[in-house]
Parts: sequence; C-alpha cells; structure tokens
Amino acid sequence: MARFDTTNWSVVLRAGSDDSATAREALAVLCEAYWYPVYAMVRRYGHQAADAEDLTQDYFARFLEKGYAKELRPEHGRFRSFLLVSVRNFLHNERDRARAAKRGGGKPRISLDAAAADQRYSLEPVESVTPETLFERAWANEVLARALERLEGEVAETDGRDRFQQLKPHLTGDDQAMGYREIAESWGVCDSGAVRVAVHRLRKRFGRILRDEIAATVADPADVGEELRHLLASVGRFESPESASPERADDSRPGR
Amino acid sequence: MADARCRRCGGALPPGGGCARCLLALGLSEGLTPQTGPGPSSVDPGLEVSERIGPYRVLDTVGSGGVGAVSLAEQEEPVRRRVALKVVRPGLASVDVLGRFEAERQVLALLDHPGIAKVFDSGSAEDGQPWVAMEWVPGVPITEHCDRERLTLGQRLLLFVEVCDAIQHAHTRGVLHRAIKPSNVLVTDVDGRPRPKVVDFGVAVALGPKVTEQTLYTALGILVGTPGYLSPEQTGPAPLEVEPRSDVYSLGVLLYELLVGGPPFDPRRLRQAGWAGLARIIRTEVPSRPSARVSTLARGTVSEAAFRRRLEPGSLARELRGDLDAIVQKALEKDPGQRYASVAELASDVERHLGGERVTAAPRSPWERLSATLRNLWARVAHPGSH
Repeated sequence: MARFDTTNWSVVLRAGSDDSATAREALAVLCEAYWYPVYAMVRRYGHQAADAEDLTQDYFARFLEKGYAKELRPEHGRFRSFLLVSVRNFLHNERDRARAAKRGGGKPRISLDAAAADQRYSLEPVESVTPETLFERAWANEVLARALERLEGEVAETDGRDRFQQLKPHLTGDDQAMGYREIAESWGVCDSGAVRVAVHRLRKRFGRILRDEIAATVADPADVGEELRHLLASVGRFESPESASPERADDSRPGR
Repeated sequence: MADARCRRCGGALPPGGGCARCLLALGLSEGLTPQTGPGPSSVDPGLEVSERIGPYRVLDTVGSGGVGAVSLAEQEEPVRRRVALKVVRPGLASVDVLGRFEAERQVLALLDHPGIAKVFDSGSAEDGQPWVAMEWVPGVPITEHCDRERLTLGQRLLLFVEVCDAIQHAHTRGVLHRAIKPSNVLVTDVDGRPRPKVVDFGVAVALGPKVTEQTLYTALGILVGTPGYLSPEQTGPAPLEVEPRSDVYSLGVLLYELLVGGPPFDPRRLRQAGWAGLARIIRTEVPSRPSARVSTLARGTVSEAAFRRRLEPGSLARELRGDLDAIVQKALEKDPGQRYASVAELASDVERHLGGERVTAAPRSPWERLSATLRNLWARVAHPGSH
C-alpha cells in the first residue's frame, strides 16, 4: 500500500526550491537534532573548538537561510548523506575565507551548546577514524540517543522513571544491570518471567521508535532498513579485549 | 573503562553509553518479515533457544498475554511451519485446566474464518503446563496499522466490520473472546491485502469459572483483558455474567479508539486506581462521547489524530458527531441490556452508517444516560447479585 510521506526530510525535498514555511520548519527540526555530528566532523578536520563552533553555526545559518535549495535533488534520499557531502563542500570553500567577519550578525542560528559539544567531542574514541566516519558514528549515536529519550518518556508516563532505569541496562547491554530475579523481587512478583517479558516489550518498542526516528531523515520509508544497516556498519565491529585502548581526541595534534 | 563489555554481544561499550550495535539491531529486527525470521538480537539470553514443547521448537519469546508467555515456535513434522505457542503461566494451571483446554481446543478447531487465527494443537509440557499452538500472525495491532497507513474514518470502519464478522462467527459457535483489545486484533497481509485477524480466542475461558479478572489482578497483578477494554460486568465478582454483549462492549472501546485516537478511559488513571477504583470507574463513569472527547483534546493531539485520519483538525469532531457518537455510545452502555444484542447488530449499524442509511442507535442526552445509570446502580444496591 502506497504511503503518503510526510517525514521531515521528504517534506524538505518535495519543497525543492519553493520557499515553504513547512519545509523550513521541517528542516529546522532536522538541523536542531543533528548538528553534533557536523560539529564532530568539523573538529576532526582539525579545527579548534571555537572555530568549529563558528563553522558549524555558519553552515547551518546558510543552510537554513538560503535553504541550499539548489543543492537538493530528488535522489537525495537521506538527510545524513546529503548533509555529509554538503558540509564537506562548505568546509572546502570556507578555507579561504576570513571568518572573523562572520561572527554574530543576527542570522538564524541553531542552539548549539558549545561547552557541551566540546566536552562530548573530547570523549569520542577517535582512534584513526576519518572525519566522515566520525560523522557517521556520531550520527548513529545521535539517533539512538533520541530514540532512547523518547522511550524513556513513554515508560516514565505509564510506569514511572524508576521502572525505566531498572530495565534500561537490559536494553543497552550495560554490565551493571540488576538481574531479572532482583528486579522481580523489587516489583513484588516471584516470577522473573514477568521481567523478561517486560524487557522484551521494551526492546520491541525501542525498535519501533528507532525506525520512526530514522524514517524522519529519509525520503522513502522503504529505505529505513538500508539506513539502519549503513549505521550498523559505521559503528564498527566490536573490538577484541586485546586491542589497545582508543586514543582520545586531542586538539594538540595536527589535523589528519 | 576499556573493559566495559556489552552483556549481549560482548563488544566494547563506550563510557556511559549503550551498545550501539545491539541497539541498532533492534531496529532491524523490528522490520523483519516472518520469512526472514528473527535476528540474533531478538533472542533473549535467558531463554533456552532449543527448548522444545511438544513437536515444536521454541525460537523466541515474543511477548505475553495475561495467561502466559507467547513464543514463536517452529514445527518440523509432519509439516514445516511457524506457530504461535502459548504456554500457560505457572501458577494458573490447575487440575481441571487441562481438561478445559482440550474441550476448548475442539471447539476452537471448529472456528474456520479468515479473520480468526487458527488453533492447531494443544497439549501439556513436561512440567505440566498446558500449551496451545496457533496460527502465527505477523501483523501489527489494528490501531497502529490504521495510524501508520493513515486510514480514513471510512476505511477504519470497514476494517472494523471485518473484525465484527470474525467475532460474530465465533459467537454463533458458542465461543466468546473476552479479551478484545488492539493487540489481539492484528492486521496482516493476506494475498497482498491487509486483513485483520483476531488472536487469542477462548483463552480466558480455559481458565475456568473460579478464575476471574479480579482474582488474576489482585493475586498476580495481571489481567487477561486490558483494563480499559473490560466491560463493566467483567469487573464484577461473578464471571458467569459475561456473555456475548461483553464482547460488544470491548468492540465499542476498540471502535472508540479507532475513531478518536485513544480509549475512553485514561489507561494510566485506571492502573493507578487499583482494582476497586478501576471497577468503579468502568461501572459508573460515563466516558465522553467521541466527538466531545476530540473537542477537549489539546491542539497538538487533535492535529495528530486528524492527520492520521486524513482530515483537517477542525473536521474530526464534526465527522464523529451524530451516527458514530450514537453507535459508540450504544456499544458502551453500562447495562448489557441497553447495548447491541449481538456483534452482528453492531456491525450492521456501522454498515448502515457507511451506506448513508439511518442507524438504530439514538444519541442519548447526558441527562438520559445519567438517569439510566443511576437506576441501574440503585437496582444493584437494592438487590445485590442480580442483573
């Protein structure tokens, strides 16, 4: 059955070069959500924190202001891949421009918490990944974080935040989880099967929310699976215990 | 820190973060069709994957009904197929349950309707737990399907009539459902068309007359039905009062949800009220009629509901006013005697509305409803135990 698409990205694409308020809004939503991967990529290109912040703001200001409509093509099925190429082109062209003049100016800005961005970037296990790979990984983590937040909101509404905190490690794979039996006791039931089922439900619900989040960034809902596989590939294989601990992002190194 | 490992896949965990691999895999397995089977991330580490029950090999626990866990299982001989295996929760089985299951199975096997998930087999596992193997229905709850596909009110009503047909088929053969709710009405692909299939028929009956919803709830914290979908008589202490019109009520709740976007009573409120509170609310509180409920929703919620029905926000309440309000109200009457006498009658009225004919349900004013409810309450207080 054909679906009528109104995901954020498909709205933007359909508007094309027409200046539509709905498209702008959809675009703004997407940019507000996914600015960090752009920031991380810009940092990885070797820019210092302050410059990276400026560049990121600049990019989005132009993107949102001018719409970069001329860059949009119907075949740009995924916001992520579009953004990656677009930002790379932007940085390439920016290199020769003076940036001081670009600060401030009342242009539309996204709300970018510079200090938080910097701190987050410093925690990235950068190893020897390219900026593009870092972008993709940060993107994947961003999608997951949003989905987890939505799930937490849902569970908090029906069963309370405590319940979510108990079950969450079983979703995220955290070692520090309370065992099923322990949790069952805290619920006052003797059957840990109830906990197992609750965890299962949580995982299913998370899967659905995740697909929904991703759907917002692709034009064709049929692409959701493909996008998921792409993100899976970008987060990399699990490292063996023998591998060396990853390098931390370090500003003093020359950009690679 | 470098030693933090995901307890599922063993991969390294980022500090303070979750296992991105496993989390992403959850998204993938949610989109899988039955042919490709569940992915590795959907197998719970606590469950024996190679567990066998009867001739079935358990693949994955997919959820729970109030009665027990539901698993996806595979049968190899004499025919290779996937089934939904329901094993009765420990603590519910009693001596006569096995006998009842067998009796029910024979009746259920007579149900042959495209809208009803078939029952294949039943038996008891090594530890004595009764199990039932039924048709595996890969589908989404009807409410979710309607929202995903943004079905119009008319399209939703057509689907609803199909559901009624299935339930009516069972009623004429003496089988009540007793636990109608969206998760028991799955929409699945049949020959390229989305069709609803009702699952979990007769499950509640197998539990026997001593086990009531109240017992289940207070003793085990579970319900066979979903609180908001229980009919007033199902919240009472005498389960023998449950009859076909209880299913009519639950269908009324389903219809309400399909039209409005949410059930008549706030599920959270019901849950927090405890059993007594829940019973009181369902038995005495008259929910807003659909068009009125829509008018009181927050703007964002109305927009969303209208969007999911391909209507302008302002039109939804108007479309529901009149016929649909009346039909829903009649199905949700507290007194079974005031409801549609059968599921077939409910379906007919919906069809009349779709055909532009006059419906039999007459909208009752709030005053009429209130006085009818008070009369009913008075009768119960004065003569406890009678209808």
